[in-house]
Amino acid sequence: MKLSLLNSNLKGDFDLIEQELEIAIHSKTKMLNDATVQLLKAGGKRIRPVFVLLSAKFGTYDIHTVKNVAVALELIHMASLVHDDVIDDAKLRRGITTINYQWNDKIAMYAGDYILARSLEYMTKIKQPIAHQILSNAIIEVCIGEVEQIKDKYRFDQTLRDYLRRIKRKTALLIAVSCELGAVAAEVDVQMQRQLYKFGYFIGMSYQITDDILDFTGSEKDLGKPAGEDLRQGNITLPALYAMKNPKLKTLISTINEDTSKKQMDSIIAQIKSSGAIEQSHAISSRYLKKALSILDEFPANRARKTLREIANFIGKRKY
Amino acid sequence: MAVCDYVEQMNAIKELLNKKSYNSYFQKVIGSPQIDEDRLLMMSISLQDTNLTIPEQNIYITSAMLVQLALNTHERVADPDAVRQERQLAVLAGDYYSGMYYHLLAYLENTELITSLATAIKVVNEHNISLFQNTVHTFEEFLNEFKEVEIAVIEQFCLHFQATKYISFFNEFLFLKKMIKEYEGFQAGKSVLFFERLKEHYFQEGTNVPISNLSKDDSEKLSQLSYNYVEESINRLNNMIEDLPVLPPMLQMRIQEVLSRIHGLTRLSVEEG
Repeated sequence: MKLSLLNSNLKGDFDLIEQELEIAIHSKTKMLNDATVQLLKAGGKRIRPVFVLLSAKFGTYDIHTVKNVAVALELIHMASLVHDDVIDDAKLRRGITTINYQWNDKIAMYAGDYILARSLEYMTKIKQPIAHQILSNAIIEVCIGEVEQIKDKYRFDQTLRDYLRRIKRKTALLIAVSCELGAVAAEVDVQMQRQLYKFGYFIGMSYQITDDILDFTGSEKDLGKPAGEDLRQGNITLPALYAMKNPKLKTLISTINEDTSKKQMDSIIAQIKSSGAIEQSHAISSRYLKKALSILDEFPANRARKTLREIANFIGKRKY
Repeated sequence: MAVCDYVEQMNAIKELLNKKSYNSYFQKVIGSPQIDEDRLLMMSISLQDTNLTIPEQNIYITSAMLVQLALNTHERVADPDAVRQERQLAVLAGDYYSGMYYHLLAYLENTELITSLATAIKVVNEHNISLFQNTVHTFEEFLNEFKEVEIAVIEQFCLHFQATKYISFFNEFLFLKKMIKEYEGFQAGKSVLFFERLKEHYFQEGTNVPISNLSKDDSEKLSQLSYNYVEESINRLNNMIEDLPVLPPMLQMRIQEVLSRIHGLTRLSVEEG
């Protein structure tokens, strides 16, 4: 997400978050510092802090309070990426060597745990107990989602419901609580906190479905990995689920395993793309986006609402 | 507190801990987490002088034990004998236990203890990387970090409840417990951290020689050097026991077991060295 998308009046606050992230991950231990700085410099869309700050704009906005939530949420996301790379044995993340690949799994585990600890240190500067109940529930759900993802690998008989529940935990939940916690920290009224949660949830669902579509339609350069890699690794996403409604394609897709060659994968991806599955997936993504936008209509008309709408539209159209 | 009361409390905490850490898939692939009962006992003793009720103590101890389980489970990720799925599940189980400690304390509305335990996690992981990186200058500096990894969670827990009188004693006890594993590894010819660093710091030459290939003389020398550290720790532990209030018989029994085990291992090491 480009910062140019955002109101210029928030630019200073986003710069502050970026500086605070650098402070948060700093360690006197050189190797740890090298690893976490590398991760930070690799960038990322920072969508969680964006949602925290924009949601807080609907209440009593104090950047010195809200920044703690924004930093904590981004750090939790970063820690989960580091540990995910260990799980997936990944070599690259955003085109940069992963910590597990550059050092080893042990260092990646220590770095991930360190980042999570720093996240909780920031988060506990927020004193409302409900904020911690919301976030801790989300962390546990995300974890369960990851377990389900491993259990569901190469399970070709899974349903649309399995997929939607999985992406809710994997992505949508943390975006939803980013919105909700921004609102909690800014003492937005409870009804609107719930609405912001729903907005984040719908956006998160749409975002992940788009991500899953891009795995089939994106270029290796943009994705930082070969197209169809998720499917080759056994992650059955929405386009594959729709494609499998065709019995012939289901038989073909069900043969995929870790050893499936690039040539075979390219052929399968081409057939999925021509099956109409991509269009059907886009329709579902758009449906979630529409729900998110309709929630925005209920919010007071201000610059934060306008920016949230721009972000929602950006997510719907993004190509990488 | 009488022995039977400690047993009862520990059983209650173990039950709660098992409940909070349970996940059927973790259970199936990596089994139940190993609960260190000594740590549980130490935390229970620490809270005896506080005004907390037993149910409150149990839930606070459970939260700190979940942190320790998370750290220990993440150590299993690099287990060379584990298959890929076991390593993957070790990552997630550790994360799940961390999340569960946060969850427990969030609902108890104790944000200060969440911070204290997060600080312990931070300290342990910084020291772990530093130990791995091997940048400390003296063996004493190494030893401090080596011990800090063991004590950090209990230390932060005790500091939070202002129950500090046992911290130094627990520090020595946990060091000796850790040394049992180090000796067992050393005697099996494995590359264990304490002996590796001891070898590097004291041997001018041949530091690249694996522990399993050390000469009889060098191995004996390493055993003797390590014993000096163990002996100093035992002396400190005994002096502290004299200064502390009478320890619960359950802990006294465990101290005797640990000392007897470490004496047996050090004797074996020196004899076999």
